[in-house]
Amino acid sequence: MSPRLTALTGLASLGLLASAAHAQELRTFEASRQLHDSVATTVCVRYGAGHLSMRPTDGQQLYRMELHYDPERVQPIHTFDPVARRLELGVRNDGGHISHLHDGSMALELARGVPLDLTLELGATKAELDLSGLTLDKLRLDAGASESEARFDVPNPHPMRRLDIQVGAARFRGADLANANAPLVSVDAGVGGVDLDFGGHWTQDIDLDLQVALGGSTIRVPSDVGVRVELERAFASFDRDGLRKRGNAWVSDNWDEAAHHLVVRGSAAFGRLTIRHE
Amino acid sequence: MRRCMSRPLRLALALAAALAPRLHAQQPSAAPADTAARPTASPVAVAGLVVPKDARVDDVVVLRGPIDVYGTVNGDAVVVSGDLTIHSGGRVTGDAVSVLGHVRLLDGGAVGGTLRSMAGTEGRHTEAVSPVRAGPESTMHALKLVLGWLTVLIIIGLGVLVTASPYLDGVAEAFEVSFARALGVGIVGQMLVLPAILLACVALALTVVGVLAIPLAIVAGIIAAVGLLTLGFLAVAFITGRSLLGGERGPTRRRATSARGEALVALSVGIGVYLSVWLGSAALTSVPALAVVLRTIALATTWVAATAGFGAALISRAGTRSESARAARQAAGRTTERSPYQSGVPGWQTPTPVHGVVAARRPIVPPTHD
Repeated sequence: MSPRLTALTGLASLGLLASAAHAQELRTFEASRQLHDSVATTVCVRYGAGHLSMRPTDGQQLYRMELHYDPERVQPIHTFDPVARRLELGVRNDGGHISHLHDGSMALELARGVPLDLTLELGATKAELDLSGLTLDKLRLDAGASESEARFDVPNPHPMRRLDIQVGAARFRGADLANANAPLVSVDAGVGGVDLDFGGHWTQDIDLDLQVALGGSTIRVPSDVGVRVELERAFASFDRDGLRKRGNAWVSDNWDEAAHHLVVRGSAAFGRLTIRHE
Repeated sequence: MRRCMSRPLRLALALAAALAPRLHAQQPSAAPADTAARPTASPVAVAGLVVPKDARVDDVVVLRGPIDVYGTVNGDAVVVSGDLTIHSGGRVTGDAVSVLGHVRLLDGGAVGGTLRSMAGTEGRHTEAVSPVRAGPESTMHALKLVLGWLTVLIIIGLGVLVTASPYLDGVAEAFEVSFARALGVGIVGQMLVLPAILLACVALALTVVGVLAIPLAIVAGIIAAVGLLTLGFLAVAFITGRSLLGGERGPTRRRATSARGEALVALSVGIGVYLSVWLGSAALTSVPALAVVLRTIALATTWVAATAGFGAALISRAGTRSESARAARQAAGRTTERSPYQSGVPGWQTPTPVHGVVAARRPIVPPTHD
């Protein structure tokens, strides 16, 4: 075989090998862990771009994660420290690249009966979070540029110490937030805007610390719950429905008689805050 | 702390990484009886493995076959191209991993570590599988980019030759007079582009009325700088191509139709020379080390050519001031001293007026009296 032909053959082989190796662009990865006990666990979920769905599970698993990801851009994360009881799940961006594949997805199931300190760090994702019935001790959601929806269809059996929501450049919708069983809710709306529905089963008063920037925010409160709003506004509009001025705050008519109360404190700048007492 | 991966698991995953692109999904076959694991052994098997009830084994690795665990695996259980099933009563103290298959944990089974299954390898390929990081798609994309630029520059060059050939000549002459001077002026010119635009904006702002023209000034400044840079680069490319093709044509002859074709060829060759290094770099995208070296060389040569051309464009004022004409004027001015009142026209000749004809006075004939 002549040297030229040898070289050509070698180059062709390299090309074929490269094409074969490059053929798979989206991979499927599943990871889970059997549930051995119900010791409190810290869970940190990181997901940069794609579609995230989360739901509880009654199975014998602490977690189950199914990932469809671009291996050239991200790497799966699934580490569990049994000593520190710390679980990290999601994907890690590889070198700061953004995947050009937009159909990546992550489906995550978490066990119901385990007290969880749950942190979600999302990037540019579309997130559907069904947190119904999870035993949440603390929840922190950093939505980034993601369009997120979190719902609590079933009450949280464990009193949640704190619920923190930070929204960046996209919208967040929370449904039946009273079922979260959190006496303190902190929402930083950024420029995306939030829609907070405090429906569900009320067991205690709730303090809402709300910071609204450029986006519009809507708070929906059941008609049998008293509402008090103490808001500092700067070039922001405040659409109140049935609230009356009392001192330096706006209160609902049923504030004195209501069994449970929602106190909204915070600030709004260049945004719009709407209170719906329905 | 994450448990360290055992040696068999590392070997198995490395082997999986090497084999994964070539492996195909297979139906699990029944494990023959002679592949049943012996107690305390660490079997690596092909075509299936069964860990019997009451058996205790260390890490198990299977290629192309299922693992059925009825007993205890002290460590990790790994299967490549097959399913891993932990039956009732079965136990894996470490991780249960399946590559190109599934992990099934039946009721009554136990896994102390993580259950993992993956289609293909986790993360990026190892060097053994893919010695090149970029696939043919990246190389084609890079080649198309360079060829696109080549086409664009040739089209622009053709336009300049057709519409602005004298200006191209002027810049080329300035470059030929002194390369070092052109390069120096080009470097200084590049550094002063932004300050010049800023100065223009400040001056317009000071006039108050000119504030409205600031955006236009910025755009015009950028367009002018880019235009000079392009003209200069084309002039340098033209000279390069002409040098390679041999022969020097004077400006007058170059304006003939056939000479224009020759000029286009020279310009195309010159552009091709400068872009050939970029082309080589693009072709070797799949070999990053060489691609980086070639790209550096291409960047350096292109920058020098563009900068020197920019400097020549500045010196020649975009080709409007020909160096040869200026030198001729200087030479003529030194050899002959003319009186501002002296013209080259002989005194007895009346020069023809430029604007119209001077009306002559009709001779007045005195009247005669009879």
